[in-house]
Amino acid sequence: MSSRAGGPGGRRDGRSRRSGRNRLRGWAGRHALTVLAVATAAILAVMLYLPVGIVFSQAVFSEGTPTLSAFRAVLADPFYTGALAGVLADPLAIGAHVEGVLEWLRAGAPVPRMGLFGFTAYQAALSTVASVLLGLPAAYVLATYEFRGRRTIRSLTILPFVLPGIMVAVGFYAMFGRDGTLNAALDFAGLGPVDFIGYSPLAVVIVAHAFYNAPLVARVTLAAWESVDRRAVETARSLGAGPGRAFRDVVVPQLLPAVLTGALLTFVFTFMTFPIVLALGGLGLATVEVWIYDRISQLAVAEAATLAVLETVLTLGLTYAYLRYESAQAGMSRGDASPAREPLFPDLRTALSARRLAVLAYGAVAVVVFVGPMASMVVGGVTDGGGFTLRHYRFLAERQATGAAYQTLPWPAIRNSLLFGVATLAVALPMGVTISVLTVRSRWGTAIDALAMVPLAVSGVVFGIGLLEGLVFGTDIGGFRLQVTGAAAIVAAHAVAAYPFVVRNVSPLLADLDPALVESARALGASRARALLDVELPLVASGIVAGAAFAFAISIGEFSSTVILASGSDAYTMPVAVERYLGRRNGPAIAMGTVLLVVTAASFVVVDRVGGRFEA
Amino acid sequence: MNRRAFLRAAGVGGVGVTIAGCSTGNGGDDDGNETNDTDTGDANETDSNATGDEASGDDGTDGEDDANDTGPNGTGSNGTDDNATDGANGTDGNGDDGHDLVVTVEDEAGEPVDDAIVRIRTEGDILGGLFGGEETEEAATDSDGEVVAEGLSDGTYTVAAESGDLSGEREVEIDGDSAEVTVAVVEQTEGRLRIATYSSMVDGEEPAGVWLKEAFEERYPDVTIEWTVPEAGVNHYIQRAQQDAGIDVDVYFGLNVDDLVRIDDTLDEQLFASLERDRVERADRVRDDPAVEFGDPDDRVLPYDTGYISLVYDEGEVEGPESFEDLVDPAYEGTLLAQNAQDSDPGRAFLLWTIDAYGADGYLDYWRELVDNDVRILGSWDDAYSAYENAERPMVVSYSTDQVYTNRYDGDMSRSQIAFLEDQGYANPEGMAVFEGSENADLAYAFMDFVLSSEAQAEIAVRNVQFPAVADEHVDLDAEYDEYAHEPPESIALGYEELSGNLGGWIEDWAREIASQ
Repeated sequence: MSSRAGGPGGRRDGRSRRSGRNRLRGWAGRHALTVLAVATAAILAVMLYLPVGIVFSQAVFSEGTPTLSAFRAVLADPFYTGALAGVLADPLAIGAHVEGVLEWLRAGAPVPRMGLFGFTAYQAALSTVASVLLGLPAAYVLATYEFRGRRTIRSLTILPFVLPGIMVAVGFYAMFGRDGTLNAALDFAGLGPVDFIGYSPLAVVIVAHAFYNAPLVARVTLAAWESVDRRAVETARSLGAGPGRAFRDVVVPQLLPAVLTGALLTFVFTFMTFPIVLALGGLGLATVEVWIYDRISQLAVAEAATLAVLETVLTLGLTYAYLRYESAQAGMSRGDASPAREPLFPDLRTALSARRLAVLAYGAVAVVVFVGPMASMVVGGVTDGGGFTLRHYRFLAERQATGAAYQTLPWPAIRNSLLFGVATLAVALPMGVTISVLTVRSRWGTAIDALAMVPLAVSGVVFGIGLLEGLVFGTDIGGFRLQVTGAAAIVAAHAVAAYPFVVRNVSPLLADLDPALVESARALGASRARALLDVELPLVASGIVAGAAFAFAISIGEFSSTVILASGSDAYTMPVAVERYLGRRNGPAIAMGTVLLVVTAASFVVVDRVGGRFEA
Repeated sequence: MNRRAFLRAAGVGGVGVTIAGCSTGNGGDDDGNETNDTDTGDANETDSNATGDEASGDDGTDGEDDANDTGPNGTGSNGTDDNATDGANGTDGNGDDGHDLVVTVEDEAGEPVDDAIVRIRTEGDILGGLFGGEETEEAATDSDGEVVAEGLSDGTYTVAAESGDLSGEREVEIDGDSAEVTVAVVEQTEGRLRIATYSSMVDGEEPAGVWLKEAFEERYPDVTIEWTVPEAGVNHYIQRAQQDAGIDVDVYFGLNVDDLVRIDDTLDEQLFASLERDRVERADRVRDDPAVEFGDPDDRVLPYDTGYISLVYDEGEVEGPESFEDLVDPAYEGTLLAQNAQDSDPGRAFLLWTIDAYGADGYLDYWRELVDNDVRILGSWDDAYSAYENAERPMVVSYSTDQVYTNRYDGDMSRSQIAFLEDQGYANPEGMAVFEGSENADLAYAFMDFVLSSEAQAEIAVRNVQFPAVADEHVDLDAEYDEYAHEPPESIALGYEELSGNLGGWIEDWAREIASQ
């Protein structure tokens, strides 16, 4: 960033004698990445590391002295670590542990007690499997077939992502409850009623997690699928490979990192699950995050921090392991010719083929799992005890028309959500791309990349309390009181939560590019930023668009940090309004939830259409 | 009935007024006095409607006050007179000549104030009343604290009264009939009162907070109430105190006993000041019942309403259980939905209720039986009630006011039946307190006193769907509300002393028991 670089003697590319404006552009061009990296680091320092550090430090400092006793207490408590507690309490008593294992074997190897951490990981693993199983077919259908509405469905895949937990619970009860839509349909067919939720609360929680995360798996995989080089497939075919062989040898290796990325994100997310397990499964299915939330409400911050640090260590460790694997997979894709799609139902005969029927069957499952809860929720917004009603929407209209300034009004919530969403895009995309570019081939790339995933690996409850104590109340830093609230802070917090999705969508594609492409561009005189803009980014556009869609969705759906940073101002968003309209009957909240759904759906279509132009 | 009349119908069409018995005035110009019926501008329209309703609702409840508070002069009965009585004065029948407005002036305790100066102001008709309307001459009240304004045309009026240092004003709408209004004169203060509360107090349907702000600001025109809704409730201020981040509010509205226990477990210093009860005249109206007691040794909280946890059940599916033992009977297997006591108020109340019934040594055994009988413990009240509404289970831990909502939303009463186990309900009183170090303590106490007034208690009960904190004789509940809001034969609640030092452990032991299943 020295000024020398912009000086007259500093150029060797033969274009140095152009106007000052061009020189400036040249300087900016050469240092754009550095500037972006510094800005990214600054945002992360203030909006992520400071608040998280404030809380985490309470886990390791007890009245000023560092100690690990809090961790020891948790690890040695069977409630948290189950059958491992004995081992963790005294790791070196190997004889006793061996004896314990033998004892256990003699008892017929019963299912050991899992503990809170064990169960949390268990349900997250099951949820990940379910999400992958439900998400991959969607990616397959959307990548392989052409049909009416394909683009729109692709845009709407991540809609479930933005729904507040309470609305998902409402939708699931309305869809799968004893009196729900599905039982009504079964009744119509002369079957049922089936007590879906009562039969296995755990299964319902896992389906709800898949409702949230299968779209994520689908979207990430789809982005990779769309950047598979068609010509590589054609080459394989021309060399005599059958379609199955070509798919296995050419397509699958390029999809695998994306599928695993989707699985990883799902695991991390569902490891941190909180409102949905309590709403559908109950306290019997409590996860670590449930205990963290309780500790925070009891203001036992140190205990919450201890649990949260362990959560972060586990999920970050897993992320690091995965990233090591991912970085070993760098390929040689030139990815500028996306695969051709075939019509879904070209004629009746094809439509009855086994593969098409399987697609239809998947469609039916998707309607039940994804469309069902959302549609049932929308219906809940126009019914009350007496049947159809518009009173809940009348409530929204009246609140808008006559509400006081200190009340929560629908329109400002909509407007703020959209503004913050767009602003988040503007901040998170450059942040994410910068980190991707800097880490993808660097020596410490994997470690930095894993650190970049911290926003996903930190308990949302703990992050919220850190924002409150660190930024809303303010922190003294060298005599300067740092205090950040309001709209700008909300956008920054959203961007921090959103950029990992950009990174995770862009990095695998970027790593897959042939390094020779950039080297050629640089050899021909392009700056690093110019090469990035002109050569690399167009080739990974599908990842950027997918990342953008996630960034927008994260911003729209974000609740916990928004509500803290918006406190006392009118910077509330749609999910905040949904929560504030909850009363002893949830009609008004559902109506607002429906508004959230419709506004978000419309913006997804727009984002995707606009983004699609860059993809083409 | 010796009311002093000071306004008399005159002029054509009954819209102009002349002044009887007064020689000077600033409203003498007939044209200037002309008032449109409802032309108060869009912004004011809803306000004036609302205050109009309040004025009429007010007559009844303040009448109750009078009946209890006033001496032998009998104004209490006047207070509840309906308009027909005024019609008997004869002016009402004149139609075009306008209507009477009976103004009663009382002091804070509800005693009539004689020789108070009363002025009536019309709403201005320029720019929606922005520049104010015309004012009549003044007149003084009689020994019953009353004056009559005669010959008023339809419209919205502001009635101002003054007596020494005390003053007050009130809006009233005259709409085709005579009316009466009571104006309380109080010591006027000015300033800004900042009150923290929970979100449904200001954001729900017909929230009580909006009414409280409007009604209080009407009584104290120079006071502004600012509501604020911190996401974490009282915890927000505990944390501020811990971090020395400063506290920027005066009153917390919506405290319960658990909050006090948590404050004292967490902070060394006092977050709320002990009440100075002599500054809240109506404080002794609070009823003598465990349902509204906090049992706080520092006496920091004044209750303003209470609710009862009970079971809500579907009588088409189950019979109402009568005891805790019923719930562990095989007949009730797989029927009950409860909430996580860690962070749900009704869930916690239900847990404490079982502790009250089985003791700290026995409640976990009872809960093991409940779990064996397949109780399902969901997260929040919303979660459990959503499940109940979709017929997941035929019983849910909820509030004894459920039928008020069922009635309001045209629901099925058979699915809104209330069961009081052991003929009891667990009470969850809500209270208000002044922050230690508030510079607006005067205003804060004036507000708390107002909250305990009859009209505020009646409004809070209906809007918040809770039961009043004051004794029956100090509040007159809406009949429809009374029909659907059920009170248990006996109310129980663990107070501060019992919870202090125990609450966290009880909940943790219980939660571990459930989560380890």
